[in-house]
Amino acid sequence: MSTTSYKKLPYEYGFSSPEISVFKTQQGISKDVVKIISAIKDEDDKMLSFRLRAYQYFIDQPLPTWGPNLSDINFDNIFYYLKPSDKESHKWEDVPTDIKNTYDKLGIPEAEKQYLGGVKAQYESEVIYGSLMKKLSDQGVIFCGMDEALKKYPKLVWQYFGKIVPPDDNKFASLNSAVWSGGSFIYIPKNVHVDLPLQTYFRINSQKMGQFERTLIIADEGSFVHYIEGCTAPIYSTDSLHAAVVEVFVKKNARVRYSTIQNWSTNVYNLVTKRAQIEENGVMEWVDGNLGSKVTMKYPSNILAGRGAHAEVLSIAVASGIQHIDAGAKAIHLAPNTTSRIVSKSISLNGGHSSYRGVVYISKGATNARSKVVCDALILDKNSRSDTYPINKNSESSAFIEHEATVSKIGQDQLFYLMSRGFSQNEAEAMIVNGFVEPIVKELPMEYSLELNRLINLQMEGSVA
Amino acid sequence: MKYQQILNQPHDVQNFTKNILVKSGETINLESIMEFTAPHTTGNTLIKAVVMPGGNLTLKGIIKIKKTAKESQAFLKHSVLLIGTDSRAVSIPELEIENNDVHASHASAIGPVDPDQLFYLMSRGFSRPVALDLIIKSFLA
Repeated sequence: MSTTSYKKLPYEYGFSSPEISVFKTQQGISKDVVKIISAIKDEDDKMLSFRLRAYQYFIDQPLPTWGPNLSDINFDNIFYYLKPSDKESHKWEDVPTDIKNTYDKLGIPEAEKQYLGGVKAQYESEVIYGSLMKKLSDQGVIFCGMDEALKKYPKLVWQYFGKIVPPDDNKFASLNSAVWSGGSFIYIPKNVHVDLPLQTYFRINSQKMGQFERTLIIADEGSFVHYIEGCTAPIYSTDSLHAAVVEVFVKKNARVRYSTIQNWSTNVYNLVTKRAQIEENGVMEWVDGNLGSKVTMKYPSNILAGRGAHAEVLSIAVASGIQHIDAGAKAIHLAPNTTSRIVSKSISLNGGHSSYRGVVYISKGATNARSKVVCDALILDKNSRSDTYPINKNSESSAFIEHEATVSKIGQDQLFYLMSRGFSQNEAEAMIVNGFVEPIVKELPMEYSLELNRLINLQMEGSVA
Repeated sequence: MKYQQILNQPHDVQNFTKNILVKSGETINLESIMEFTAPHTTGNTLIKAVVMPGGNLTLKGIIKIKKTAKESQAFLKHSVLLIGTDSRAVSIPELEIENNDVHASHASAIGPVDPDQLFYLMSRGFSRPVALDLIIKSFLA
């Protein structure tokens, strides 16, 4: 019998461009840094006081004591704001050359032409490129950078901003609220169906960078939108920090699908707070691919506030080497007939550590609510580790929560069957791994599922023992 | 209540089963830990509970499989029936697996009495309270 060792493909997005900045704050965070960021953005007092309040919460709160080890993050070592360009361009030709080359290598302009309804590109702290199909803007769809939205539609932004992720929610949400910059603002008017996905692409280029974007999506009654985000960064020996806040409001009968392909390099701490509030008969779907980063802590939360609301979380994590991916989901059922489904798949290899951490809570009065949680984990070698930490809380006796989880290696009988059909051991193992993640990969748009498949496709080196 | 079992002998097989009836106004916390340190071990935890109106139940079940416990099998199950309108239950099944050559799984369900079962028994002439009583007894039996 041969033994197989597994390796992830080499990280393809590890290249960096020379650092360009129009403005950069000093290292570390202080009240002054917060004030400078606010001043650069020419914000009103309301936002400045919001930032300063959040800064105080950030200082006051301790690091979370549960979950992955975060004690290595040196908050004084990080650059909290870097402005790479003076303005947001609406044509790729106008984007500064170095930045444009980066996005060319990542294939973004090509993707935009072929299958996207709108694109934002965030480089370091600012959105440097944005476009939206004319058809969509004519229908009243708003897709712009968060900073631009605050200037153009202050009333709409303040109605929702920080409402489901308040600035004192957790240490990293507070940090984001204090120094946030960039991110996307999306508003879909009543009954508008956006057929082509909207995408934002996040790129960290400099060393010791912190990226703190803030995304706000409002889907008005009966509308639909599919939003995709992708993230990459160069490989450095020093750590970078990415702490985003995402708020999604799904109104009556609306549906939002939020897909993430997180492929940071393995020196990025990815600590993200994502939350959605779903009203009557609304549907929220998260498709969450976690492949990169050094440490990820991400638990998309769903607050099912209206009768008949539905939430779905499909998440996949691949942890290799030093990576610790702590992902999961939350579903909070507050109304009758609400349903949620959480499917999590994780693969640990090469000493990687993946965890599922989740909460399902059904409050009293949420009659006939239903929730189902399935987590499956594959451990490919003896140095890797997988944990499952779910909490299922049911306070409504007509409601039903189901939870199941399994952890195993590649099944010997599956392997034997495939090999008896003439596949080599490597081919058979690759097939089993692909089959394991298939239910989630198939939910992504074609181009992304190919990309994800390729990323997960493990490079296996067989040797005869 | 806390129960801990350690499987530290090769080929050890241990089962832990518990049936719990949480009466009205009662609060019960139960924590079960099964730790696997030796190879070829098998451990099963099965907990069934019925929570009467006004009862409160918290179940925590931990499976830990250490690096040394090769080819071990672990399973944990929490089944909870909620009766009436004011009963609550929390289930926290945890897995910590440090080894790839294992099969570990858990399942947890918290829900009401199946209305079909209740309907069937009532169609056979049992009154609602008697039918409910039969279902609870057979669930815990």
